[in-house]
Amino acid sequence: MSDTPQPTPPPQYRLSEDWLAVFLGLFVLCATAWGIWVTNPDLKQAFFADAVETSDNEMPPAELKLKNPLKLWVDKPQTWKSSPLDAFQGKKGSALPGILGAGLFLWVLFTAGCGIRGDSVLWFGLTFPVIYALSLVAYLLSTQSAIKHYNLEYALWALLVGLLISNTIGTPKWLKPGVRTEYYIKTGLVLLGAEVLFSKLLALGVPGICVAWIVTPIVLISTYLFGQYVLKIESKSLNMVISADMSVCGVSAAIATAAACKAKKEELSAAISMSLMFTVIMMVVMPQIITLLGISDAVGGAWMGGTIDATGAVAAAGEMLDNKAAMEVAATIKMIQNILIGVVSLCVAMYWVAYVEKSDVDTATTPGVGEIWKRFPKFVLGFLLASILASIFYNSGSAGVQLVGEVTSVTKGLRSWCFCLAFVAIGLDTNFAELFKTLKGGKPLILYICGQSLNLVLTLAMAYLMFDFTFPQARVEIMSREVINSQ
Amino acid sequence: MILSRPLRLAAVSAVIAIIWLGVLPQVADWPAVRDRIERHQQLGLDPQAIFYSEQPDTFYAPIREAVAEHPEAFW
Repeated sequence: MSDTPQPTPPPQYRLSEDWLAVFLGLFVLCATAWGIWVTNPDLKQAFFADAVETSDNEMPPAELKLKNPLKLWVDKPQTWKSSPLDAFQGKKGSALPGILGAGLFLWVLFTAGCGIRGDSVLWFGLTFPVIYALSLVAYLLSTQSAIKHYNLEYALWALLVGLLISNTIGTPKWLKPGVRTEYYIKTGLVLLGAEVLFSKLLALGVPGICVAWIVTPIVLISTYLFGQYVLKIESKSLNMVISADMSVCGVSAAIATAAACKAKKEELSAAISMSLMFTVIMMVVMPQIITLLGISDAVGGAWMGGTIDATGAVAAAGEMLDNKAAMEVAATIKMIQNILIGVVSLCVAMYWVAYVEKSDVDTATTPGVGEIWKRFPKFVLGFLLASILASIFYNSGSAGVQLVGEVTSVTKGLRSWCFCLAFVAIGLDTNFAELFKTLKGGKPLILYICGQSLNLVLTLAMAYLMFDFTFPQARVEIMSREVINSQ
Repeated sequence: MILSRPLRLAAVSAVIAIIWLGVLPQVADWPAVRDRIERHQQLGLDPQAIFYSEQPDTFYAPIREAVAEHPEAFW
């Protein structure tokens, strides 16, 4: 995304923010893996055992129980009802060391990154704790139990906290060195890459692939083209971010796509705000429609999984149906869709540098490979590399499954903080007028509604085709398992 | 009446504090909301998850087992 222009252009030899994010993200992943490796001597043996004998990599053996001392030092505020102080008390003890530990670690990491890049270490180091404190406030707002269980995610509150300051007292100049949206988002995205495991794509066989990987790209491309040729939305990046947010998986897809197509901060904010509002409505209304129309649980679950934007809201909506299998189908379809964000961000980045940016600059010439490489958002490579490495380890055997699980149990907490910091930074850098200008004329809203309507129709049709006509036995197996489990 | 900038911030912060500390705790006690919260907690469901990895593995395990045991039904 495009941040406020820097006062002086960076010298040629200066490390770009993209490469820095790749370096920091991969460093965190490797350091976490190394920390787990050295504290678990059995792990080496387990890897060796996996290498010599074939084992079921989805079923880790009970005897290998990994210790993960790092987990204690990365945490988020917990759910609270009446007193925000309860948010610092987790189920397994105080969450305070984890909240402070994550803050301290990110402080050192990002400040060191500034040093590597040649930015002002002192000013960044002084202002980062303020941004982190504001992120903590945003987290506290989002974890109030009534808010949390209706899916009003931290991204929205982080944005609100930032906007509140920038639109009342104004963001103080001295705070600006810590307002580094792209820095936080891109590092968070590289960390997210380790959670994108390609084998998950096969989790529901052909029905899962058809619902999540055939319908989704069709809806994404159709919505984008509809926005360009019918609604004639001026900003292509806004059009793309709304299309991806609505068709793929909400906030995470919006963040990844916005970074890939260099969308403006207020475009990402507008897309996410709109998506979260519709998510709340859809997660309450869709289960009722499914019950009213007598749609089977498998089809209903697949329908919700493919259409409700937010991952958490999908499970929450699935849970409202009587049969637990509906929730499992919904969650699994959404998981398969989640994996799509790697491919989507790569394709969007390539399309942008090869076609969109070209047409913005010069319509007559096609950019060469060198020019495409220069414009390509390099953090996408870090994201994909993290995903490929994690997928390889995950498929190497039961020890790999456990190692990836333990690494991501730490890095997903850091990744969430990175995104929260980014949304606070976006809010601090945006004013309401700019945000409303993005939504001017109501075209983005029309785009969202039309795209989501197409998504609802196509996903329902595909879910019926898969579970009622092509693979009825799959539905029987899912439902019968639920009966066995409930007995 | 136009409030000065710091006053505006204080006023909005006060409204937020009243909603979060006064109104929302009451809302969380409404039977329908309370039931929903309890059900989510029992399942270990995180309604604010932005990625599948933030949900417990038990959500995916039954289907994974069904696919592993009866691949012919899914492929």
